[in-house]
Amino acid sequence: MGSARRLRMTASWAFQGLAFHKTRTLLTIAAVGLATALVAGILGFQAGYRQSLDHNIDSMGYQILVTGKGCPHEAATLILRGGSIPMYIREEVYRHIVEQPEVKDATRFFMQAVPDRGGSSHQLHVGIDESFLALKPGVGFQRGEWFSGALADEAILGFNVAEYRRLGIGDTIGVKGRTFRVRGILDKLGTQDDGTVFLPLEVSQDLFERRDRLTGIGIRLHDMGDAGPFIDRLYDIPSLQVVRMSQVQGAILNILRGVRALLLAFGAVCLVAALMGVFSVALITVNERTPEMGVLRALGCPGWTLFQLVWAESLLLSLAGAVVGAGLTLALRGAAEWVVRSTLTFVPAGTVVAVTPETLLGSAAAVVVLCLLAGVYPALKSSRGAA
Amino acid sequence: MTALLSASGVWKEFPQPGTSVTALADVTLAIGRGEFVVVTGESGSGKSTLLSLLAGMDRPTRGAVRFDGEALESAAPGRLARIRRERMGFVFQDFRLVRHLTVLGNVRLPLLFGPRGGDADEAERLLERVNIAHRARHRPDALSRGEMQRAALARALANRPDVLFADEPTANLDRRNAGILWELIADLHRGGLTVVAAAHDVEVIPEGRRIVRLDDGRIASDEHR
Repeated sequence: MGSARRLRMTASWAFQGLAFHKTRTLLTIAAVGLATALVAGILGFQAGYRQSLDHNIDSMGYQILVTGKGCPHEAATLILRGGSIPMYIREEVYRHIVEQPEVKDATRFFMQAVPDRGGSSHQLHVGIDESFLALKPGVGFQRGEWFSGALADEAILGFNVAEYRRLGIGDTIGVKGRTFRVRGILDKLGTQDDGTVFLPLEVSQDLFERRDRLTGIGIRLHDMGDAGPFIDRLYDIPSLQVVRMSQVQGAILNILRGVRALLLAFGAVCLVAALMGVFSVALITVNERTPEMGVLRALGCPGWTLFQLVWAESLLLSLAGAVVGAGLTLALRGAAEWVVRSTLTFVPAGTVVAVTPETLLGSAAAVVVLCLLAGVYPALKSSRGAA
Repeated sequence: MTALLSASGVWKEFPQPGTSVTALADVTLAIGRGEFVVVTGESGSGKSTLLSLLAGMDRPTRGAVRFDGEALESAAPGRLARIRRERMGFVFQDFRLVRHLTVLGNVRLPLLFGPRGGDADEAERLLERVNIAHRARHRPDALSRGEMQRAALARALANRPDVLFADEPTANLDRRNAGILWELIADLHRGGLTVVAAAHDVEVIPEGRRIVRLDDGRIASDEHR
């Protein structure tokens, strides 16, 4: 008999065996599906969070951040997510920095978050000057252009702000009782800039009554190899904190490590539970069918064929579970994204649960392989039965 | 007539704590190709044990068992399984159909591992031959006992065996169904099949068969009826 036909018959045997115990089979498939979805979700979160964080930090355009005295990582995180930093540095520090030979580009900014929608959220306002664009060469205008002057009552909107508020060029926006005309709308960047209202630096300082004050200075060096001595010199200036963005990235990922460990442990427990399910179903099947297996042996069925028959059930269970898991992952990734954003203190802009085809296939393949391993012992047991 | 199956000085003992139970004692028997032999005797006389030894499902404690000239008592398990799947068919007292497969699926089972097995159409022809083709797509639990045993008989024939072993195939059937099954087996025998059956009640067996009577594990008589 042809091997294709034998394969069909083996699959048919396995399928009919599983269909005979519908409840047991469906529960096991659900368990395998959940485990697959969890593994895919956790892997997607690991990759997505890292990618989003990297993208957010890269898109800031600078390698070193200078802020007022305080926790530099807190300040960096506030700048990443957007918020009010209650520490200020004087304008003269910026002028001093741009004169340093190691500095390729630097930008100064003044950031404030203003309560919005009755206090339920905050609108981020950042005062900037032309140096902002120099550090972000990839940033362009979807519509409109740069401020007409350093003292103009004009605003440049991040893409999402314009989208959600349905604002176009020439429309007005109110900030702290003052009206600003929309001068430009930025391209969609996938960072916190999408949700920011940019104002001319001096106008912003004036609006928030912090003239000659900055919340941060971003710096790009000609050569990051010079960062050590450069930062040491900056610390000669009183009341300054200097942090490399790579340190910020490391600090955030360190904080996240605990969450990742917890998620991985949870995923591992679910995976083990699913594997136990497959193992149990296969073992129960073998024990239940000992008389049938004996008959097959009596009819001359080779041990290897019996092994294949039982193993085929594990394969079908795991394949069905993997397909269900892939579907669950795709269906629930939005919910997973929401859970992550609701529970973690800092979540970078962009997709943090990045479920790629590779993630899905990898998770499904891993679960199928593990389920097949779980099915080996029951299959071996069946193959060693007597006639 | 050439002996297809033979047992020579066969003993079978089942060890028990501190003792052993003798199921067969010094049994010598030769079964020719094309014979229809019925092994009979009281319960516990050793009928099923003798059939399992002749079919290579078990090994004798002492003595020799040969099938078509090949010693079964010393053959490797894989070789015994191959002989069974290629040259022997089996019908059991309690049918032993696989309950999650349809009747047709059960008859096709030997095709899974038997290279001599016929194709799927042949499985349907076998069901027609035992008069249950209309039950092909049903599961065993939807069948009467008589139908289940006829399905088991069709399965036993799927690999076109040289010899059919039937271990008390009618023990769970009423007299009418028992008669139908024996007639089917007799018809197969007339087609050249060697039949070795165990039966408690020989009255329902068609006449002209060789009856081997076992008594306490020994051959008490061996005659044609």
